[in-house]
Amino acid sequence: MNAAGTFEHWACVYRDDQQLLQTAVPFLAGGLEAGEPVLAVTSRANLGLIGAALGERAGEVDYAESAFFGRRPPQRVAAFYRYWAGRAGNGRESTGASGGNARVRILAEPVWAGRSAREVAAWTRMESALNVALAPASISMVCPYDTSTLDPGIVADALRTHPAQIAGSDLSPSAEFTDPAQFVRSCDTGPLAQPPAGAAEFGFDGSLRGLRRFIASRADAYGVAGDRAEMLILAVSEVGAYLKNQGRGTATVRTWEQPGAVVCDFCQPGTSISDPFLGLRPASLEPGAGDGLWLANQLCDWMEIRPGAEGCTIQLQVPSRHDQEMVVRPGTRYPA
Amino acid sequence: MTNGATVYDDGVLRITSTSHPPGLTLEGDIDESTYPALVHALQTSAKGRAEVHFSLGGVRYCDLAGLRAIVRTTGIGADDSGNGHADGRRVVLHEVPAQLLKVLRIVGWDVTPGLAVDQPAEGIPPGSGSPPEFGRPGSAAW
Repeated sequence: MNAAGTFEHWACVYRDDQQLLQTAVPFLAGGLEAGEPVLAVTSRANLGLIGAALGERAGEVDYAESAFFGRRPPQRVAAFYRYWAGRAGNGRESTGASGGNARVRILAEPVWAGRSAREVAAWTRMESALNVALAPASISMVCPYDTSTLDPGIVADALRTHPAQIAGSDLSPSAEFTDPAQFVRSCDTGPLAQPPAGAAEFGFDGSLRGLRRFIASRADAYGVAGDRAEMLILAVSEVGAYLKNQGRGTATVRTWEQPGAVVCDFCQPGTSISDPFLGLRPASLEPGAGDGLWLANQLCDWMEIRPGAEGCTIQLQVPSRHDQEMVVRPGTRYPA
Repeated sequence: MTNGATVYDDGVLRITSTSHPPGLTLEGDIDESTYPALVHALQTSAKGRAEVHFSLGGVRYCDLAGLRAIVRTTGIGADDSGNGHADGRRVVLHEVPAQLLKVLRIVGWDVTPGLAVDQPAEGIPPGSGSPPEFGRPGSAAW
């Protein structure tokens, strides 16, 4: 294991419970023996297996069910960072990058089943981006990939997104590991949702208040209200502030509703975005480029960026009013 | 709070100094257009003091940079030459709007040493980050 300040990211490709345990148990137990905070994020089934194998020591392991520890990739990155910053015991956020010296170990198995192709791509992209976004964090992370259930393409990508593989206690460099910037850029090439003919349009000239008034009226028109409207306004205003600071004049903002989402699309000719990790590096009290986009990424279901030859596009998506999970019924009370 | 003089008012953001307890009352929009005035007022109000109070009930909008400036009045994360309490100023936030509190929690600044939020408990302990549904603003789990 390395000293402080280096993010270690290893794939554990396994085909059955025994193989998973052969790697996971020594990794987690080794952390406990070293006095390091240890976190296991995986399915309930695997948490049970690992707990049983660790025996009495299982009670010392922090754990989370994978589906709820960062629901989307940007939130997952933030959750890892928060765990490290909080458990490293160094007054998190003192300056962010300097974080702490304590190393933490995380076993992190993403959920793949039931995901759309778009989501699989986003989680794969995150696996690669973690190598950069978490670079300042002293985390040793093992990501299990179950060949008995996963699409072979997902496993093959794991070898491109992790610098090394671990099996038991044996580490071996991954020959397929791809430079994260190159990998992430290759993920950001597909087409974005296109505005329909009836999309609302706003010429953003740098006035953030004007932009906020526009998106507030659009949120109202789409039935996005209350907290959800406030957070959409915040996300949109932060994107506007970022584009304004690129200093390239105006942007065209379009909004529309489509099944499953309200979309806000910024198109700014003449601006090129070269940082593929924009919006993924956790914001800290030390100002960093793209902090506002990090916040927008936390608040929205999707934030997608296309650098583009003629300019850049940033597209936000939030749940529409039809999302029943989002419905708040102030009058509803649990039975007494 | 005892309000004192208006130290800034451009029609977008109004900043009023308070004396008991010492601090500021902020009303309006905090974004890049009002950021320089905000930072100046924060620094002036905090200079030489071990504790300052900011009343945020009238803030309609506050971006991440503005929120950071407010939190950094604690001296944490600041290049804090000359204010006298770089290592331990207490900053108390009053009447924090709900959406601002959410952002504080999402970004993790709610547990900044020296920062106190004078707010009725909502069942989420500071430092716990966001609940599992975070990023889904408006969901009942917030």
